[in-house]
Amino acid sequence: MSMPYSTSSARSGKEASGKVEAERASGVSEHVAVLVTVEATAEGALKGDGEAGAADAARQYGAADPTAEAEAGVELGAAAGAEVGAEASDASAAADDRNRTRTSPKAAPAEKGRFMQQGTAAWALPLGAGLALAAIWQAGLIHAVLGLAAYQLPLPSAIFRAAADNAGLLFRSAGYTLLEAAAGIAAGTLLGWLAAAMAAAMPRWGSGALLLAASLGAVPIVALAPIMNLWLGDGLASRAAVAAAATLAPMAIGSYRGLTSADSASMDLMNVLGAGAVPAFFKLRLPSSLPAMLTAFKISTAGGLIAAMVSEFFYSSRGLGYLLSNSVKIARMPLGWACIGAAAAAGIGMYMLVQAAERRLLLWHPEFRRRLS
Amino acid sequence: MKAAAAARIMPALVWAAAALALWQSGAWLLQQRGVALASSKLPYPYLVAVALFRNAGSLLAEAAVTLLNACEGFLLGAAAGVALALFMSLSATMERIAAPYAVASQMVPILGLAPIVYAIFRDENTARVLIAGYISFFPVALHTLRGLQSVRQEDRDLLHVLACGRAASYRVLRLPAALPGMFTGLKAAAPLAVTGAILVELMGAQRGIGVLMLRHLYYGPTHAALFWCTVLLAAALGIAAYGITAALENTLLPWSRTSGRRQGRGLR
Repeated sequence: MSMPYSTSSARSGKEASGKVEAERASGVSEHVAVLVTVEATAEGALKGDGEAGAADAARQYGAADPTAEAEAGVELGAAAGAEVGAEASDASAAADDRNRTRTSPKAAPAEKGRFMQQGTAAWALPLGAGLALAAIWQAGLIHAVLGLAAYQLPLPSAIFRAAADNAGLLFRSAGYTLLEAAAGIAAGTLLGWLAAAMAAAMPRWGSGALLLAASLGAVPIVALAPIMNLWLGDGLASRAAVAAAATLAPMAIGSYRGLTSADSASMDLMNVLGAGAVPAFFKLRLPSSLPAMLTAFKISTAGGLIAAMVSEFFYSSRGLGYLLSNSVKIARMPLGWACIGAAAAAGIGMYMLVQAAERRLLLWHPEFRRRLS
Repeated sequence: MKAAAAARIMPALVWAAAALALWQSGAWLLQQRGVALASSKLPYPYLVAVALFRNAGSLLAEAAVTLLNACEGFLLGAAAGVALALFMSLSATMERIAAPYAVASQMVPILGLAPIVYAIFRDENTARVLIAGYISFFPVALHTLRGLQSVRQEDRDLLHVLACGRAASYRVLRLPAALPGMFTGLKAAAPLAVTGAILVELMGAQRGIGVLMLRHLYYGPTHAALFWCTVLLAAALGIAAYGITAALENTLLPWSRTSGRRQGRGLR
């Protein structure tokens, strides 16, 4: 949101550097300093931008002391209040002129402030709730309520220590499992989508294929793991196949639901305009299938990762699932919980990737926009 | 009416026959080429059918145990999922807090959690029910939330103009709008609940289809046909769970676009 704002203003600032001199003295620098500060504190990435921008501006207008420039920049970036030192006014005035070429400085601070609040709330609230839970856990309240001993449910501090001690091992294992899951999810998504497209194009025969895909998803992962191991050996392929089977069904059902969800008035319009089945598919059905498809994809990424891990429990000597089952077997519960934490982190990372893709792909969609507002 | 039903079932039958033919020829190919462990990799379908018929009694009894446990867990997980979706739709703060954890909780591998749950409750049935509930929780929550949020702005505005309170707007507008989405989630969750129940059985329960599966896997090639029986039965349980949920949707939500009856097509 804010990055293009800053970069474009920096560019226009350099272009407009001639006119700037006269306006600089007119005392607009105060509210501009606020603007720069708010902008700079809005996000971490932006903070670096603010520093660079201020230093850049000071250099452009030939400020005397290079260290003062740097200080001014840091202060602009870090200070939450609007207090800007005297030596910074030069720089901020310059920044003002650059900003003013793009937008009204009065409107901007309010808007930036709102974004900052939303951004902070998005991570602060879940983090706070999580920390509170961890504190309760560490204090032993959970153990007291459920009557557990520390070897059954390790304390967070022990889990952190185990994770820190085995960081390299955890990273390698998680990478391997993610590779298996990604290969499986890619294959399963493609096959599931093909089944759905077939079912949508040829309802009479395709629905049978969909039923077949759905029944493959109903086969328990743990039953598939030994079969795939017999078929494909104990390499990466057998786990990827299990992950693909687990991904296929939700994708097929979700995509089919999406592909048949185009509203009938739009379909009628396509008919009236004489559009064939192929243009109608690509111009209407495919775009309107995206929301349901991406929801299915969110579920299937989680399912694919779990499938890869669970099939590692049985026949594997690498990966997060193997490490977890092995740790539980030899009673190293803290390392087992660290594996669970690593799996959760990997899963959340994948989920966020899908969500970012969803945002990019669905911004045009009325339902998605309503969800955002 | 009868002709329409036949037309719906026919393609499915043809597909099933094609799959069976593929299985038979695959098994035949493996046997002919003398692949090691061919009878374990893919036994002839008729051998599996014979084994299924001979052991029908014990297989079905164990399957019933599994299905019952899965059903309990499924209801528990679905109720929790709907409750979370309601909370998340009621308050944006709640959604912000809960959404990352709902995803994270789903990422905890269930099999790793099973011994912990087992140690806490020291009862295999409770563990099975809890794991089945836990695994079916996320799809229901996600889809129900989507349904709750899919209400049109015009409809919301209308209720606002009519001075409807929050409770009324949920009763009249949001909950009915959420039902199709909820059933999509339920249909995705039902087979998962069966999977969860079987997972716990593999951890060392006394009864259930998973116990049989593990036993026949360990006995090796002589029990290959029986092992395949248990796999097929487990799949059948999952499909049955889906079918029951879909039938429930058709009965309860005849107006829903997602229920297949209206368009006269098979699976939806």
